[in-house]
Amino acid sequence: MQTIAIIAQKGGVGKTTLALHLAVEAAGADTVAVIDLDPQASASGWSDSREGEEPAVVACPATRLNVTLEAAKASGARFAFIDTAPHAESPALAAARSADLVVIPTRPGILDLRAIGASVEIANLAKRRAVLVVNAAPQGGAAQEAAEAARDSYGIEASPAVVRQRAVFGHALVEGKTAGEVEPEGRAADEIRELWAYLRQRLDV
Amino acid sequence: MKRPGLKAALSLAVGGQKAAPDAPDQELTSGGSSRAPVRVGRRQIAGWFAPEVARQLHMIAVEEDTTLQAIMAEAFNDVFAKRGKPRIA
Repeated sequence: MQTIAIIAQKGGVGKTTLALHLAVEAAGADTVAVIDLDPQASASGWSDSREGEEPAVVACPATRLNVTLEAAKASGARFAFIDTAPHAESPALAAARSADLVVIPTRPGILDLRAIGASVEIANLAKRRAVLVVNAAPQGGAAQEAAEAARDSYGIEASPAVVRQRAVFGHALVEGKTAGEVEPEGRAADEIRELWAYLRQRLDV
Repeated sequence: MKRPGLKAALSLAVGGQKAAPDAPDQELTSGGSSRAPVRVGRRQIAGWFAPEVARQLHMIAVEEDTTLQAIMAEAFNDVFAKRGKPRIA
């Protein structure tokens, strides 16, 4: 089983949105678990409003993370995504330690970029490889500039696959779906597919 | 790729039941050691202080209906914050 931890100490950068979209994308071909460490349990709420059981989502306190990951592995999960809460650095560290790859989402704004330092430091403390994903990017060159700034400031690799600001991401989640399920031919679906392909490559799978 | 058992297995693990339907029990106790599960993967940090320091810390914990562990985590996080480090304790 390969585990991907999605951490960001800033709220509203799209941790849960990315976790759920990536999990559904991965679940098209493999068995997938989503471990929801956020006490707000947004991912679990999405799963409750969803028809069908794929991917399996469970709300979990950080103290139960290891046994829950063991259970996912023993039950045949190929990939596990850990969604985390903002401003909770101890659970973020636990998630990073359990992961094969740490994904740090950010919006391209300068304030968001400043906030990724703590997340990069947590990944470094856990000695885990981390990649930056620019999410909710406006059209134009801001995403590219953000990726370059992050690399220069924190030495972190940025995903070449960027996720744009699109209303369909939010609308779909409200319905217990993903953007790709609502608009299978849409650009949002393409972006998530490209992002997952890039992350798989970073995981060497 | 449907696996109806996965969600149930995850819920059991979160709820403190078995790690997985077919996982041997000894896996939960880290290779047969007698260490309490809450300490697995953790390291003790200790220091030597005047008895009054220990007493005052215990009194804070009692007054706030929390644990010495939680008070120490708060203290370490304050140290980290002061130095611009992530508050990971």
